[in-house]
Amino acid sequence: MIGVLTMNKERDNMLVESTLKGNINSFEELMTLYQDKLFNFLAKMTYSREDAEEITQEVFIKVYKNLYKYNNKWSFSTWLYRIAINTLRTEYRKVKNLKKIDYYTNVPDLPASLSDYPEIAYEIKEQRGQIMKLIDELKEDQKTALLLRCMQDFSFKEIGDILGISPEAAKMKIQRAKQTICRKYEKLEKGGR
Amino acid sequence: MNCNFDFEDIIKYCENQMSDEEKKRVKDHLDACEKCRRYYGVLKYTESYAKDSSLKSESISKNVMEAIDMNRYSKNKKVWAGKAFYKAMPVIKPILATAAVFAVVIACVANFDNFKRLIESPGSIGANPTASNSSPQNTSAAVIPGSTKPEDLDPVEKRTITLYFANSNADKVIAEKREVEISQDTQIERLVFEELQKGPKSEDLYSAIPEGTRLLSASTANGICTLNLSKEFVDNHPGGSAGELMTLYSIINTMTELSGIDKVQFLIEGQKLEAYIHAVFNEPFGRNQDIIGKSASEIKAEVEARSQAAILAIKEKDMEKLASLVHPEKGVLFSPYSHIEPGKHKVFSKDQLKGLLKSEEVYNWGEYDGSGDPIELTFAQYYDKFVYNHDFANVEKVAYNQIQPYGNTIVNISDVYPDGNFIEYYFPGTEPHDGMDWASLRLVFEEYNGQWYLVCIAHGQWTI
Repeated sequence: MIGVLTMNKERDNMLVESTLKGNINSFEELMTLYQDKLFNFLAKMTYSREDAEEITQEVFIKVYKNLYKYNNKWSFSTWLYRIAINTLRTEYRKVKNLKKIDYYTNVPDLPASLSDYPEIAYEIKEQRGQIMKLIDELKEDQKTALLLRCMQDFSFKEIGDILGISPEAAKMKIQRAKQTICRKYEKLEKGGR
Repeated sequence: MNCNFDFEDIIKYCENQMSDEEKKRVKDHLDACEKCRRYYGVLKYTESYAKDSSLKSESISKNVMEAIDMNRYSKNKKVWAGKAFYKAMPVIKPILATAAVFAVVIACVANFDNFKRLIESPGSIGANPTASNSSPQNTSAAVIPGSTKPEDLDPVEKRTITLYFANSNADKVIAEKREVEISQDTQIERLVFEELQKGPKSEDLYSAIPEGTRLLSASTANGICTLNLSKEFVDNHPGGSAGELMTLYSIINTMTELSGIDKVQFLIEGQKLEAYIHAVFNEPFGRNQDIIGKSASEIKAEVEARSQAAILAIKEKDMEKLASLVHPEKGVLFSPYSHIEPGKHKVFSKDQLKGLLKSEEVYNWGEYDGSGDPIELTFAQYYDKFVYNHDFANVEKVAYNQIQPYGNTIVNISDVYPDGNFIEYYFPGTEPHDGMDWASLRLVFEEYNGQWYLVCIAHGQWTI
């Protein structure tokens, strides 16, 4: 695992250096390596495909413009997500509050085996939509930490670096996020019956 | 049923961070407890939902590539020079080719690798028909790599030269570095002089060489560079002793940057003149170090380096180190908010600073914003609240002499420290607080005996 990580790091640093020497293909390669995950992460943060696309683009443009400032004491992915988080914070906050989100329709499709049992499928979908809503309603930093941890396999140290907090604080936030989701879900279940 | 099972264990179980034994214990519990089972389900779904990266977008990289300046890192100038060079190739290639052969022969011992590379690179006789057809000398066409990059050709060497131009007050000459390409048959003195004539790149500097001046010849012997200039050098000089000094030392200091040149002798149309305008002119001139001023970018780099040392000392609470950076006469002022009030805020000398963290003494640091209550804290308490209350050493936004448009306090650094330069470390704040937890730390430096010293540590945060 550590081997893979250091390899990634070396690969990324190589691509960064090559980009800085004027090799634009290396930048394209970097983008290919990271864009899907970043896009999906931002899609979950914003609940909007269009916004996520736009922010992902903006992040990569910023990355390119500021690449000469990149300090390889960071891993490239940490740096990338840090920029993403900052972009999200500074440019996105106004829009989001105005939006009404239909979580149910956003639930990823269920396995086909359930299509014969529409009622069960409906219930599962509703539960899942509920959980997504709870994740979305978390405090912003808890939500960010949670998503980073689950989807990106970032270490607590890296999440701390991205959010500008200590690894312990990052771990705490994720723990709290999970607790909050479970507690609130519990409440909903009880209230619903 | 109320279950007291440790929630953390369920999390660990989900993340697969347990020994088999522990896992069994949790699993047994999950089988028995509906509530914990539900937690487990929720956690599992949370994870799989967060992991899901199935959404695809085709347009992102395309749009990014369209938006960015692809030449940003390819040194536009080089690209341009390369193109210009290429256009001129048919004419100058034979010359270069001959020169290349000489260069290779002369340098082949020292430069064997290079030589080998040249020989081995695939010849491309057909690639440039003009060049290969036009000249019978061009037997070495195969030696020249097929590429059109002039950098690959031996006779052209890149060098960074330092030029001096007059500042706007005409009291100092300021260095400006630039990269030039010099071929084997160009005299470096001439090339440098011509670069000087082209004028400075930065807007606040001025060329001091009289218009129409031609360099008739240049030679260097025994450390003295003799520049033979046309009469326009005298006739077209706008006059004034300040301007004269600028003209002379712009040239002299530039020339003496070159190795092997200590002094400059001027000739006008081949003659030694008694005097230029005022200055005695029949002796060679030595370099004048005192007339060299600092460029804005040098100052910035100096202040940045000092500030970097200071912010690390602050982070690490290394008071000895920090004290060494403090202004020897003025000391350092601590301002809890962006509005600096020299009468009200505490100032400590560098010696006082050293032991201050251990001091129990409660000081008055000014007033709390909003309530107007006095800020009465020990130095250590103040430090945690109004100096390093955020990891400023690692923030992303670090600005030089820029006041960011946030907060509603009047930032008066430039009024209080008109000769100062400052670096700002800015933390943008977090979403849950709607960014209202932004914080900044500004370190102000003033020059003293040629070095930059810390005079103020101003903290900034949301004020009501």
